[in-house]
Amino acid sequence: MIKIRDIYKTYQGGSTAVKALRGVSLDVAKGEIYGVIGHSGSGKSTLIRCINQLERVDSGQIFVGGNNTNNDITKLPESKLRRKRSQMGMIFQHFNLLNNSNVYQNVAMPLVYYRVNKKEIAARVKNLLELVGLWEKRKAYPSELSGGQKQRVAIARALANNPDILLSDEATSALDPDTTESILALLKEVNQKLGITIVIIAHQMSVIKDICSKVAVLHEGIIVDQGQTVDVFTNPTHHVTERFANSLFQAERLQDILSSGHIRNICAAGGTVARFLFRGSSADEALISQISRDFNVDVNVIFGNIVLFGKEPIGHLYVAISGSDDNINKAVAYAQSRGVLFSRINTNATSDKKASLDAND
Amino acid sequence: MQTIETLLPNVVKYWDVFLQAIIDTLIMVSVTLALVIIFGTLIGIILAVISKGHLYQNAILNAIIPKIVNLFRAIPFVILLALLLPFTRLIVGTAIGVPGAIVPMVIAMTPFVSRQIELTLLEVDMGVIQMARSMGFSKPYIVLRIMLSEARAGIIRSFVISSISIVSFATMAGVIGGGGIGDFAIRYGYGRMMTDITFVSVIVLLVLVFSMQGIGNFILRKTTH
Repeated sequence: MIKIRDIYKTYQGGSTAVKALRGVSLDVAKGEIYGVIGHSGSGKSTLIRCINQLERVDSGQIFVGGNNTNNDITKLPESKLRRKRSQMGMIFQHFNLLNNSNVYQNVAMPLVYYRVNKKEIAARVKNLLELVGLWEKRKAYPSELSGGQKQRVAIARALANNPDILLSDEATSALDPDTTESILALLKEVNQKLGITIVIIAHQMSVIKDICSKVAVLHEGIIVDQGQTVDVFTNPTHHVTERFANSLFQAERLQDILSSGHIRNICAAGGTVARFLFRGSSADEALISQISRDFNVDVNVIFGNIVLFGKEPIGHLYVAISGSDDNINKAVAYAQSRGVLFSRINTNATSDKKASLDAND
Repeated sequence: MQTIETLLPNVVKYWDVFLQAIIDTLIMVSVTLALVIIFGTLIGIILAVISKGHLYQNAILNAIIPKIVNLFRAIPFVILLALLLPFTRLIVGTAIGVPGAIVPMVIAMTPFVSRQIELTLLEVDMGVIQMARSMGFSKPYIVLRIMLSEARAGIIRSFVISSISIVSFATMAGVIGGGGIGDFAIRYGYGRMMTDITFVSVIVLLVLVFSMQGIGNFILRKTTH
């Protein structure tokens, strides 16, 4: 659906040039919800604006809706580009509704521009406002709506032209957690009911894990990790991805717990502190009690949690294992054979207040 | 009737001249306002869209046009009246009377209004403009249907403010042969010490200003949210 190939974008700001995108490539398949996550300044907003060419790229190609050069929107002249844009809806962090127009007029706006006849406009607007649950509010003005309602109107408006693609630029960043959840549920509904491909830009992990099946992690204009959302965050290869994953699993709290006396004693006695990640079927087994029994090791649960990626639960458990080295290694090997991701925590480094994960899984 | 004649003897005596003066002022103000709205909006739009980062950003035009506009704003109106004499003659054939007053008034007011229109247009959220572009709207449509519509409160307000300035300018223009209430009040009220004429002239001007303000506020209430 969307194929981005090696795009570069630099902003010239007086004497300094900001390299916003440095060779970004990604593919979004039809019907997918694709997330792009990154800290502010990572270039993610530029990236989504390149997809509908609100920002022109310096070099690279972006194919939308096909692979031939007619679909490379970086090469299209203004008139054709505008037509292409009309097939992509976009929603924004600050909603960008027309304040002097009511809800109905806001949703009807793109239809009026494209000279759809009045009857059809009325029918379509009614459908859309019913989809987002705001038909009763059709005569209200934006100033009379809550943030969540405004975003619903914006979503209805973005869908008015029957787009194939919906671009969401930090659409939930200005909303509270409950409202965020309901907007995400609406986006998911739109994706499933209407089959619209959605590209989501976010800096919040909750957004990505809730609805994005695939994700790209953007850092300083480069994609540092990409793939299935669960894979990317259970097995991060870049420190930025790891930080996002840690925030999701609350791993930053590990530090405090590791410095507690009891855990120190285990470490001092040659025990191992490790992280187990359970996903899918491995989450169903009584693994901890099993390895404890079968390999004669003591497993001390430090802390853990379960995070839902869409509907898939990912269990995350920090444990301190004590026993003979041989037994510990056998236990670990067994756990890994059961599909559990294992990583050893380097506790020697805790003295310098730097616990890091060994990448031996 | 008798009491009016005792209280305002000169107003009654020169009633015909006074009436003509009011009509002249109304014509000067309304024609000037109409032209200023047209030119001011046009130049205001141009000023806004050529600015950096806007729809038609253009560094060269943006270096020239605002300077010209500022230049005209810097010249005091009374000086402008004198300065524009040859130009006024060229445009309307005469430098005196109502037509002779309208030309310098339009030229004095247009930069003022266009700057205000520019400011209100620049206040329209760039996000809204981006949204319109993301829907594939053409740039002229965005300017005329989205920006003007979103900025209409500020635009109407600037028209109200300018119409009041125009009344004041019309009074001044009267002094150098434009006619109108200003001219009438100076020639009769001040020149011949007919205080009642000055007094009534002021009342008429105040009524004019307040009614324009009232109409402006009414339109504002009807069109914005």
